[in-house]
Amino acid sequence: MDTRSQHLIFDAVSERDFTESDIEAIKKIIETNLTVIKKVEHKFTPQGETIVFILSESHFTIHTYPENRYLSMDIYVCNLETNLEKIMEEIKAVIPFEKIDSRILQRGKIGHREDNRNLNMVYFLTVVVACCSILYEFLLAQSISTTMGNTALRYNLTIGLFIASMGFGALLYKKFISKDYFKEFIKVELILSLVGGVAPILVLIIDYLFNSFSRTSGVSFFSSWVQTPLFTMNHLLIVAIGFLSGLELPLLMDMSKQFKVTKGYFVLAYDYLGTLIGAILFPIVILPSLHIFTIGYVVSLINILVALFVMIKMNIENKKYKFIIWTMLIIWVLLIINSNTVNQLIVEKFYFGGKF
Amino acid sequence: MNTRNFIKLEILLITSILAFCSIVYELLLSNTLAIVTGNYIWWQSLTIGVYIGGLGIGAYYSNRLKNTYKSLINIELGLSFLGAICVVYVYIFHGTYKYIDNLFFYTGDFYSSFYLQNMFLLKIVFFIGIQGLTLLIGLLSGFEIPLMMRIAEERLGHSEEGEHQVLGINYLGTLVGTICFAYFLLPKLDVIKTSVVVALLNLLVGIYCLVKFAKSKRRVYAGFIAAVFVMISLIGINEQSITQRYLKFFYYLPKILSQNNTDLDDLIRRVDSFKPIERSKSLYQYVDIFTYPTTEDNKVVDSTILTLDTNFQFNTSTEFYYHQAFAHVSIIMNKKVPKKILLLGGGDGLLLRELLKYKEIESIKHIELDQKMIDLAKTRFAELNKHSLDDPRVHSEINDGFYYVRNTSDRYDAIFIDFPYPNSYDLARLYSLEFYTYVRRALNPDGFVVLDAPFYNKEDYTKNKYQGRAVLTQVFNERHVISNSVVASTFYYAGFKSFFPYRVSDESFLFLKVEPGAIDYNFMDSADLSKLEPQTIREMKEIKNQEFPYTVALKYVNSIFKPMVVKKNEF
Repeated sequence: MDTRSQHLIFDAVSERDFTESDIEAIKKIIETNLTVIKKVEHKFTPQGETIVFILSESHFTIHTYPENRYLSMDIYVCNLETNLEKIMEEIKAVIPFEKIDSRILQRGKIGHREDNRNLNMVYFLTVVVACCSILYEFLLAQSISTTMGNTALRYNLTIGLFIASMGFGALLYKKFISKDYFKEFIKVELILSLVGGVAPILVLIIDYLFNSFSRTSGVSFFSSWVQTPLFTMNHLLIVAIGFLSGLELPLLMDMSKQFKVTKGYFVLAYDYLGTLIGAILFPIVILPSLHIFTIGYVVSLINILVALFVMIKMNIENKKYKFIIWTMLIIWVLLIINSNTVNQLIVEKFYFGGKF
Repeated sequence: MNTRNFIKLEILLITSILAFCSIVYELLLSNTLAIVTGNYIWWQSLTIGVYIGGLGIGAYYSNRLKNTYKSLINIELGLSFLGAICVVYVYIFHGTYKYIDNLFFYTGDFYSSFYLQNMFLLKIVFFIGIQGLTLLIGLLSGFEIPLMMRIAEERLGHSEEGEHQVLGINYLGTLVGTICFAYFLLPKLDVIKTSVVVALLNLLVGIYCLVKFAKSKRRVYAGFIAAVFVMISLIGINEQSITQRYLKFFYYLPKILSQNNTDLDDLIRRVDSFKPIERSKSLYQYVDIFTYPTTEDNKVVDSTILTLDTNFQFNTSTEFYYHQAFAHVSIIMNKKVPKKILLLGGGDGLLLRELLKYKEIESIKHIELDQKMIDLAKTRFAELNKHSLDDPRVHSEINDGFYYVRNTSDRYDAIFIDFPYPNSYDLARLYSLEFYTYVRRALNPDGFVVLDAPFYNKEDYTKNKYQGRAVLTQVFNERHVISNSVVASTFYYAGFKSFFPYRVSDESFLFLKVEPGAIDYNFMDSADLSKLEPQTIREMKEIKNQEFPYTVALKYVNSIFKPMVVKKNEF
């Protein structure tokens, strides 16, 4: 049994006094849109009325307070298909309302078995995105060490900065993320994919720009006038990715709570698992087998696929996101196919500053 | 401040200290393991992986802990104990592992005990023993965040923001721990003192929680705390002797094994009887210096050995082979003495000593990363290198070799490269396509490059070696060919078309020129050998017959963007 239901809660104040025919019209709308099994009506003295319909879908109730021109109405349907928005619009057309406070609640989630499958999906997503994040960070550590040297220090600093900016992300989560968790998740994934995928190349471009600057202006490359902004810009990339990853974790915790009353630290456990996988795979398998730019493209592609997966799975309709996802998907695939040529061009141009 | 804010502050402070302690334990383990085993990539990534895995398991099963406060106190006491012993545990475990392994593969000389570790089963036991501790520390640390979240919920009421704040402050504690460890704890205190200090901090948190929250069994806890405190103090007081015992055992193992006695008391007495190891930590590495008795023409001579991060660098009684082969063979091959030379690495000044024998050399630019090495060369090894660093023709500079060649506009007749072997990604950078491309740019058109790199020839690797208690057949295998191919291909694609590898004694060198066919293989016929010791000349005669199999292909190129590391097969 699918226990997932929709619950429309509708409070409204009318511009004018209700008439008998207003209430009749509302009842008519319910009768035409839904299947009524039983009706109970009661009129209070001196005024006011309560009507309850038992529906095959579930129930409908309305309470009127004519002295306040106020009515309160509930429609509860045990399915996700009925368009409660449409019914609400029809009701709004009957009476000119001055104030409306309405919302549609998603009910019956904890009773629903399929939610366990959705919960597992969230855990799976957690593993994948945690793995992607740590890979982005390792990639950045590696590419910054190609331009700034001292690999061991780079890795230490990167891990430290990554963890700290994740902390900031988690702390500032409420300020950045609205209640529409799945949409927000897709947004975060898109930004991460874009920033993370090109970050290793950006590191090279930043280095190239500072090198050209030092050559043309005569300021030594090793002076703090060059080194300080160079350092800052490179490490801002780490902070950006760490911050976005920091938003991910509480977001995933909240997503899991959509399906089940659960403790956030289960998500935390899966996040650690993903990090573990990334941390082991990177130095032993991934780094020796692919060019670091190509690793960037592949991890970005995985991030985009995660966004696409959530969009399809959660039935999210959003033309803008759909367009961005497919464009990025095509770009990453093209980059991966032509990675050898592209990488060589980038290295020649920005690392060696032309051929020699 | 009202009570609520105080409680909040208290919870966040405790969380951040706990996060700090946990990450320091992890870093202690991974760093100690990397140094004692010499295999950085493998052990550092595995340790962080197992630790994070432990955190995950801890977080997952934390809801099984029923009594929040009691569990927290137990965990803190446990962590304090494990953190205090972690370095000593690695030392003891690794020492035992080495000892047992060498019982089977003892070869009688210094080098063999470092390079011949073959028992797979023993490796597994070592791995489980060491990473078991890492997992345990990770597991206990993994309980901490959920427990702190629960405490926050119990004392302040449920709020998602509280949950996120605990998470956030935990991350901050981890950052502080990482940075403190890299810049302060490790360079200033070294590993054992760090473990003691952090374990004490952890114990303090445990005591605070006990005083604040525990309602019963206070006596039992007080006993535990006293025991842990005594143990931590003992480790702290004996820090010097523990480190010395381990280092002596590590370096003098072949000597210990050569005296046939397995009585444990006797073993410790024998370890203590060796001269102490001088260990110092520079910004970049551990520098260990110790005397080692070697047999030379049936006489026992005390020679001094220097290691960097426990990797062998030179032995005062045999270094001349190496440095003569490095300096003279390459100049003989070139048939012309270069005027302007660049030397990268070689801070000990020994290669400089050989180079300065040529009057024709006008200037030597010397780039060394570690100031510590230069200081040693100017004091302790000044006799040995004949004060080469004070010669007016030598211009030393503290700099990163890669940076120097990338940014210099000077051109040289010869470039000598004396770096450690590329067994980590950091060092692989100095053997990369990009590095050699810049080296080529810094070279005059008919100049040459010579470097000491791992390169394997067939003859040296197909002998049956009688090694003490075992006969070991070394086979020249595919791994050696791949390792050779990586080095050779990287040079080829960096633009060095002439390529001559040679091996003298136990060291292999590579001589390179840009023009194809620029090497005359009969260079020995008309060579001036006056600057060489007779032993070196004897070894040099073999050069012509050495065969180094390799293939040149793009897939073997070691680039900083796609590093290939020549892996050492050891724990």
